[in-house]
Amino acid sequence: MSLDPFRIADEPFYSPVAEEMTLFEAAYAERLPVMLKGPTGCGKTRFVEHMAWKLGRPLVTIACHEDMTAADLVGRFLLDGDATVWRDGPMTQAVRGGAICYLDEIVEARQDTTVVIHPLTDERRVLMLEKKNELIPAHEDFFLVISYNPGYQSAVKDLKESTKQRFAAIDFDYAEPEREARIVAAEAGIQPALADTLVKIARASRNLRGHGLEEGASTRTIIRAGKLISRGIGVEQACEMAIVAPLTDSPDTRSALRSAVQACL
Amino acid sequence: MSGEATNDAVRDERDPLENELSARPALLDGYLRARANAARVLGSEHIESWKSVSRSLYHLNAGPGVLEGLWSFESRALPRIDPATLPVLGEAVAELCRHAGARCAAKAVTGARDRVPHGGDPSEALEWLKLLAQLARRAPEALAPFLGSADMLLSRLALPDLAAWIEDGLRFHVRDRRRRIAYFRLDDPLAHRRLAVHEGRSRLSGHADRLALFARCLFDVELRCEALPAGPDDEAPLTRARLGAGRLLVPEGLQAPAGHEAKAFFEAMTAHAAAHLVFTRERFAIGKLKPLQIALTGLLEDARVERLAAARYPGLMRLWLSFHGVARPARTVQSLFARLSRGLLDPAFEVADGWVVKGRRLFEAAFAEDPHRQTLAREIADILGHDLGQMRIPFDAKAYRVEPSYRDDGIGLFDVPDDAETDPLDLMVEGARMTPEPEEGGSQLGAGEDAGRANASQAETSDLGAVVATLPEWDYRLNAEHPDFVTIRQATMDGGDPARLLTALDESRSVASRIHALLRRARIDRPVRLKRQMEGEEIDMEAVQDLVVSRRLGEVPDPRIYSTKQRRGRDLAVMLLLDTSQSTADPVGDGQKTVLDVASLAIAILGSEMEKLGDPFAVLSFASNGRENVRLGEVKAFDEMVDAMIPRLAGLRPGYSTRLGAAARHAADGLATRHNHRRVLIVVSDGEPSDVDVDDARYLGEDARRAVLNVRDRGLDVFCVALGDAADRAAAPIFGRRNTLAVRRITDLPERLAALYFRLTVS
Ligand SMILES: Nc1ncnc2c1ncn2[C@@H]1O[C@H](COP(=O)(O)OP(=O)(O)OP(=O)(O)O)[C@@H](O)[C@H]1O
Ligand SMILES: [Mg+2]
Repeated sequence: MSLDPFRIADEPFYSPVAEEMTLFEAAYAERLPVMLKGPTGCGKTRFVEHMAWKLGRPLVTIACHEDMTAADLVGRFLLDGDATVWRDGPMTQAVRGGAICYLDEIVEARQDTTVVIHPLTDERRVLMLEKKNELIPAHEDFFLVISYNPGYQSAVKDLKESTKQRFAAIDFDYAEPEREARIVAAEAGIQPALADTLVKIARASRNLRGHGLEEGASTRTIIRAGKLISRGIGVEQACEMAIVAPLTDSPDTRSALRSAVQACL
Repeated sequence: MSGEATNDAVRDERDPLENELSARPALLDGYLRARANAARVLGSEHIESWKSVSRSLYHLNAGPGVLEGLWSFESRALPRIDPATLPVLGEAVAELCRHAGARCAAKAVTGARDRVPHGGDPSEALEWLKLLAQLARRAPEALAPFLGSADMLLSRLALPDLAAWIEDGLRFHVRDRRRRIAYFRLDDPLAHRRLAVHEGRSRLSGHADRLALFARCLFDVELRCEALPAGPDDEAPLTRARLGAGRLLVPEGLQAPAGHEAKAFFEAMTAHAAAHLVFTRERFAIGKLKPLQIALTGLLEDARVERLAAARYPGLMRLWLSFHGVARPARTVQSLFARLSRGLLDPAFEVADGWVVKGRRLFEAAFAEDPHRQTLAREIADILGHDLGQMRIPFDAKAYRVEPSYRDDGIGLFDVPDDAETDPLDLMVEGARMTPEPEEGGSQLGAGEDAGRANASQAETSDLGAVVATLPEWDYRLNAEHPDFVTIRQATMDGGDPARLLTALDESRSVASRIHALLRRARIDRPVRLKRQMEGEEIDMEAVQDLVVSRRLGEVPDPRIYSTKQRRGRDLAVMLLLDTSQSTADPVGDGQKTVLDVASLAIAILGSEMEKLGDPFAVLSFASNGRENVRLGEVKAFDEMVDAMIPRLAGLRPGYSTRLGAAARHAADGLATRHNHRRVLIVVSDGEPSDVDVDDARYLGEDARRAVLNVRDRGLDVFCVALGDAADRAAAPIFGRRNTLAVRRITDLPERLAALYFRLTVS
């Protein structure tokens, strides 16, 4: 099975925040699994894509969710006529073929699912296919990256300590205002002044983190607002659609956000 | 755009309405265009529903005016309308036609169309149309006069308040058609009185939470806006908001503009206060400053912080400027100050007066040099103050008001020395007396006296306990709420000697252990999905797949192929609201204990059980002495341990009356902040609501009933434990019979209360 479809041909635009590229490359050289920590929509996924492109490795991305089972990761037997055939899961494909495997939002997965990555993250570097009774040694280029949003943390949903400690962590946060505005302008194709305004709005909304909002508007969100605006939608309305309405249903919080949007214009 | 619409306005022989309209080419043309537009926006999925709306209206004889009005309404609203509400829209228009006639309906619909912002959210216009339809159904003759007054009404009231105003008119004139018409034409004085009442609702209380979020959002500061009710005989009430210690106290008497403008006004006020919190880094020393210097320093500092804030948030400047009027040029403090204030904010504002020009020039120069140098305000104030004196323009400190009224009174910007006993506001008044302007001697003597009296009344108020909230009260006679009517104060919780209560607890051990056994079985929670179960109501497809595979592979299959939902664990929060009014001093049983003693004991027992179960709970006590003084005591907060509550329970003393509605509203506000699956308010009371300032026997009962309804609307459960022989007769109408537990023998209370708790939490 070829991993070619997972190769990234064109350079994904990524504007570095600090040392994260150097750190990632060093971790990759040592095949030290990496955890990207940071709030939603701040560029973690984009960063991995960029690094996969830079290192010339295919990238297998798996979005984790609550109902995901170990079989969804490693594979399962399927019925094929009268026979059963084994089908590799995405993780197994990455392990065999030497891809970078990115488990997005890993806290969402149940803990009995996440344990399958354990033997991949220590010296053994193997994947167990329990159903098949097979042990696959990882390809020498195989590299595991997970993302983790500390804001989500709660007693019920957190990574096991034993899982966390298997990773080297790189911290992410929204870029500082000028750079975030440049990213927004580039990604949404809008004027710098407008991007500045959108960033201002996002930063205002982030002040409500923990006070009515679980998270403020992410870079992703304001890029969306920017795209709507470049399609001719009014600024206020685009912010309503892309920022205010998705973030909260509380009338008070919505109204405060709306007024903040107006203050920024 | 419209040319395009005509192009794809293709004919469709299968559309019955199209055929029916073939004899009316003008209408047909409009229909085809509207249909094409609707098809484009709604897609094939909802177009049938759209067509049926037009068709049924046509069959109602709606006439071209209504139909075309509807279509033009839709052409504005469609991009943002929820297709599911199309039938609602159709029904509203149909209702208007049926009851008020086609002409009136057409007028209503086109009026509503004009309320849809282009490309904006049509939901408010839709609500408006529904309101009109409702009015047409209930009082068809009222619609036309109402439409005539609509613009004025809408400029002063928000929709829900307007709905309440309509309701008033219909209730007050149930039978009298003529007076109803007069009301809706605004010829009836009552209409204006009710308008004033509903306008008053836009007072601060409804905005406070939003404003706190707004301040935090913009500047990441904590700013609480609180209404400051004028005391009963407060002779020198504040006329402007007062800023201090992260709080903005907004006097009730402050004239906020009505309706939508109130929103902007409060936002301007909040943003201004927040700008002070961020940019006024230190307070000005009050030293020997004269009132005029204080006033000018405040004015300049206000401008400085607003300019800084607007550099970050340009929209704020628009907001603030909208409250700066154009003062007529005059050589008075009022005119000069108003023009200087505006001139410092608005570069386009033209002024010729030398004093204002100078002030502006000095400010701009200093601001350009370093906008964060706060002393620039002090320095320029001295110069400008001196000039005013030279110009012989008198400054009347007593009459001085900071303008525009969204700004705080500026007193919070000054540092009052610790040893000063007087309020800086008095200092200002005092200052005015020490440097009398020749013409004003008489009135300023009076000012000194006033200040003294104001101080006395303030001391009295603080004795009552801190104001924690102002709440509305329901008046069944008006069928309306009095906004911000009741003052909730924090009762001091002096702990008492817990010995007696602890002994009583000890003596009730057998009761306690029965209660314990009972409550252990209580289980409640949100259901969770469990996969791979032996039995269950759904099949777990993944497990089935694995089962088949294992079978093929000759393994022993896992038979657990079901999934099920189950409640596990507990997730509820309970608030107990304990009546401590005078009647709870009555003896019970052998006369050794009072009602309040037994109630305290019951709560102590139940409390320790709840703590064992891990159910968060809080206890509030309440008693009232008139609407200005409803005292709530925090016997136990959610995050406190039971041990902390025992001395406070022991310290409760009976006294005063029972303003139940207010207490319930306030308790519910506290409980509503919890994020538990289930939130339960339990009121423990021995009598019917009453208070010293209410004669009407029904009034407080009706208010309490209303309060309970509102609390239930917020998703909270409310129950009452009625103590004594007759208490349930009063409680049942308020809480509902099913939600009232009568405990006749009060000594049974501990067990009964626990039983109620059990019933509530297992069911
Ligand atoms: N540093 C950056 N350089 C370029 N683009 C960025 C950067 N940061 C964010 N973006 C933009 O923000 C968008 C969202 O980022 P991304 O999807 O990588 O977020 P994420 O952190 O992975 O979010 P989540 O945790 O929700 O998966 C990207 O599509 C990209 O347009
Ligand atoms: Mg001020």
